[in-house]
Amino acid sequence: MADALLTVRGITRRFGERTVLDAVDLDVVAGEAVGVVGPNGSGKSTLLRCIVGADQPDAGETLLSGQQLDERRAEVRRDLAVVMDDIDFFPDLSVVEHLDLVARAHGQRDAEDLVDAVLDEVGLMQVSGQLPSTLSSGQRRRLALASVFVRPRTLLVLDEPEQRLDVEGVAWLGEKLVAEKAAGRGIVLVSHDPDLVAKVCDRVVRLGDA
Amino acid sequence: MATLEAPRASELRGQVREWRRGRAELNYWEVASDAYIAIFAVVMIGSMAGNVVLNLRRLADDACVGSCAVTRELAPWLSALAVAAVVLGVARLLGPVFSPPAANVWLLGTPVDRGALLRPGWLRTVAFTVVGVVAVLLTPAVLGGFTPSTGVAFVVAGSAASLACVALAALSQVHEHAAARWLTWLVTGSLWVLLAATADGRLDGVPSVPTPVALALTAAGLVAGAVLAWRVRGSLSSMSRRVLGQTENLSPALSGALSSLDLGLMYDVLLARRWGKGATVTSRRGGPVGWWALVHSDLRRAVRAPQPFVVLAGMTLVPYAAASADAGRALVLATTLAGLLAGPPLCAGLRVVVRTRGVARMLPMSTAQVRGAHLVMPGTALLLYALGTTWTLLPLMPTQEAVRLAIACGLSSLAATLRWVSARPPDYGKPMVSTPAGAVPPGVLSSVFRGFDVWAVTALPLVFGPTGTVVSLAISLGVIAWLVSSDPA
Ligand SMILES: Nc1ncnc2c1ncn2[C@@H]1O[C@H](COP(=O)(O)OP(=O)(O)OP(=O)(O)O)[C@@H](O)[C@H]1O
Ligand SMILES: [Mg+2]
Repeated sequence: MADALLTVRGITRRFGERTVLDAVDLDVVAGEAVGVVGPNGSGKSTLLRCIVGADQPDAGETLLSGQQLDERRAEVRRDLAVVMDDIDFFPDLSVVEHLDLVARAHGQRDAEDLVDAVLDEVGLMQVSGQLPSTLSSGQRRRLALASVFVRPRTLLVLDEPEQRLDVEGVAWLGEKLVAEKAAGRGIVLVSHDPDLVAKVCDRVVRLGDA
Repeated sequence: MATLEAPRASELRGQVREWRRGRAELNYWEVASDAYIAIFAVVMIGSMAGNVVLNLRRLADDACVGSCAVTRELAPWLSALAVAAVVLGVARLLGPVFSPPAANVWLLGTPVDRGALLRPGWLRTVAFTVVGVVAVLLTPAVLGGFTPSTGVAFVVAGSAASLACVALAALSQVHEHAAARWLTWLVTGSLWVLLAATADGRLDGVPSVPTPVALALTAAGLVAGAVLAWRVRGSLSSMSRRVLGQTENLSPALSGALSSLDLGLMYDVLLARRWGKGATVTSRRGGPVGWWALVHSDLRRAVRAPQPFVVLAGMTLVPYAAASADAGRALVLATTLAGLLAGPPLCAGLRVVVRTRGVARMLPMSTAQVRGAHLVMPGTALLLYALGTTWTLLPLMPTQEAVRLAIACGLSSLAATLRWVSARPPDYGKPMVSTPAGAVPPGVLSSVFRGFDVWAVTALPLVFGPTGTVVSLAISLGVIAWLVSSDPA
């Protein structure tokens, strides 16, 4: 296909004797969402970590827009928006400052308006002046997700983004991701929520029933 | 694709600094008075320590002859090697290039130049290494009986060598090769060989080198350190997040523990790291039941991670080196101190039941029984270590007394180690104590001296003849019994 965004070929990852990922292939084109599902321990997070360069596969390669995906290149970091399942925060920066930092670091000119809009959308306006340690676990999750939407992106890589969100939050997330697709972005979504996967994803890759 | 637009790292740093400054609760007057107290404390302690060192030097100048003079000549080189080994070990543990997890998530994922983000941290590491090593090497330089100019050259060369080690560790971290591991083995190995040769009395002094050669070597060391550090600076931008992720959690946790002076927490962090991500073990099952199951689990730990026991065995060289320096009966101080330093790493199992009450509560035994069980392995090891030093005492006293003294040394080390390990985590809920370094929870300050207090009261009597030995034995046993059975705060 012409506008292949993410191409994963033959990713293999072993931990000692165990082969967690065995030559996994994955393709995402622009405007498409691909779900990755499977039971606990089937290697979903490991696959995402290998894709975004947080882990090194024993074999296989990952291409982003036809080029080797190397997170050390700044262009790659601009295109790739990642939310893994555990996220650390600066303990002494407030919610709005975290988002401001990301927006500015990405060179967003209208950082303030953008951050305000996203804060409103994810429902963190009320707590925008608070420190991360004082947020509820769902609010922390929302903050992590918000960081995706205040920055430029062409591919979203999300590991269980729905965890700890309330029912409305999950609904909002689903709509938001559908809108992201409509804007021509690609999505890789790991999730244990079948409804969310059905709503967002065009295709589903199943891991762990070898 | 549009041209990439990203702000400079310094702009971002400025922004973050501004946010932070906005909410600083100290006013400038408070900051100034804190700084004043800190400087005052450093000057006071520095001059006191300096005085002690100068007095010791005068003493050594007067009293040190024969084999003592040889040991004295070797001591600075031994310390320089030891410092390099420690610096290298710490550097490899922490990175040496590192960035905290929050920065990894929020900054390193953005298009901002990675090299520029990591550079200030690296420069801090370099400065810290150089200043720290210079400060540490001053004492051996003075005590080693150098002339002033040789002493300066020694300190400069020593810190340059340590810097080169750190930079090499950083380079092998960036490029993921094993050079740093080999270097660590090389440095530790040479230290051990030199120590063994000193203890053996085989060396008759440091080979004398003509001054120009020494100066040239010093200059070469300086150049090597600077060039390597510069090369690291250049390669920071090719650092991958994966490599940074390997140590990201350790350094903030450790620096947090360090800034609150909580050595116990540091121990726990290191223990967690040792068995953290990426560690694998082969499970073994079976063994005795009841109380002996705990002892057996400690034995299994020792087989799984024998390094602390190897270090303790290596430590036997310290008293032998002290004996070759004609320390007389005072060498028991070296024996017990080395035992205390090598002791805590043996107590991983004990530490867990002290720190994590939940684990101890799970077991159908009294606290004393649980702790006693976890004391069997370290106790046996420390006693064997102390008995291994009996030969240093034989020239000074009859065999029977030497054995008794060695046992007393072992028990003293065990008591002091137990005291160190049974430190409770500080209670951050209680009112803080204000210090020049900021507010710290009560009990943390004393945790720095923890263990050394018991060492002092049990080791000092050993110097004063057979009666002292008996007194020390009694105190050690009392301390051990008390710490095992009670719940000291
Ligand atoms: N550092 C590691 N060392 C050894 N094994 C590991 C390591 N990291 C992951 N694994 C193993 O790899 C397998 C896959 O882990 P992964 O986290 O990818 O699962 P997952 O599919 O994301 O599961 P979940 O649905 O629970 O999030 C697990 O069996 C895990 O034990
Ligand atoms: Mg997972």
